[in-house]
Amino acid sequence: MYRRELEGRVLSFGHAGILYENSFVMYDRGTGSLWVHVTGEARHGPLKGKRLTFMPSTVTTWENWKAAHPGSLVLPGYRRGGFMGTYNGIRGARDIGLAVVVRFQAKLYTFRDLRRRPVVNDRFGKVSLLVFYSEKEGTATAWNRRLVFAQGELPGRVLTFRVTEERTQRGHRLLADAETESRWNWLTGEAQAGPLKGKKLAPLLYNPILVGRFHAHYPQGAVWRP
Amino acid sequence: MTLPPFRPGYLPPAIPVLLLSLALLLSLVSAASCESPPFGYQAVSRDAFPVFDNPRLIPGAQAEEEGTVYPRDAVIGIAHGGEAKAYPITIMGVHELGNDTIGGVPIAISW
Repeated sequence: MYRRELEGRVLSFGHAGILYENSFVMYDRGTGSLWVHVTGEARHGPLKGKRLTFMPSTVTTWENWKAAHPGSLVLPGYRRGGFMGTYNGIRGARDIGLAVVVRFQAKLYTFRDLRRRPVVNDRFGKVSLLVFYSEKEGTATAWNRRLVFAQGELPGRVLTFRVTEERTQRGHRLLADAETESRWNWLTGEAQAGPLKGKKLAPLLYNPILVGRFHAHYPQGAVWRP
Repeated sequence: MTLPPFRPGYLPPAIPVLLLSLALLLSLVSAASCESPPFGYQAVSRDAFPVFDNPRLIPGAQAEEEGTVYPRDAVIGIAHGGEAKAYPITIMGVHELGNDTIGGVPIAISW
């Protein structure tokens, strides 16, 4: 998911029909430059070397998404099972991970490792981050652990998270931070109870990705090990 | 050694064969240069996938009623600027790519 704006111009994309490292290439209709959709980088043409900005998005089940965003709209169309799709169904056993991108540097958290350690309080570059994986939903999300501070507030504290046995009305496990014992929703990044109730964590740019595809597109990418 | 006398209209049989194979070779080379992209390979023709542009999304309740999306279906969800949109994977598999906006921000959804 990208912001299709570049230096004040709005781009619109078409499908180039090219496969590169097993993923397709898109072109922008204005200049015809070729873009790798996994990394958001133009590899050829007048915009070569330019990069698109990611937009945070989440891959999860519809019931999950609806619970977090009851007013959500849906793209209509004909259903078609996973042709060229990354998932064999979201709970499929294919080797998937979460790629977290910070300043164009990527770090991979494989679902296989997250299954063993679903809450990760990690640091990547200068960012303290939280990765949470819900095996039930096959969904992982990533958030900045440093609280966003409002004007006049001191720079936010860095929180340390753990998963609790408490659940939301929809049956999702709540996270707790050790510093304030507030309770957090991992899908929306919002504190639902406790001293920080109503506060939101800043989302990071992340993308579920096939492990093989991550290594092909980010050969220098970091990989988290539990 | 003496060359055969020049006779207009006569070509040694090797020459048409050479010309034909040259034409064949040239057509192959030109076809290859048309088809071969600067990186990767041309798997399908350009715009073979019906990329969508600013589609009209439907409310969740309607989508469920019409069988567009089921509770356990995977969706790509995005929330920004007070808007939330879900792109079911089953439907993204048809389009692969789309142009849309959310909360006033132009976005590209790729799958």
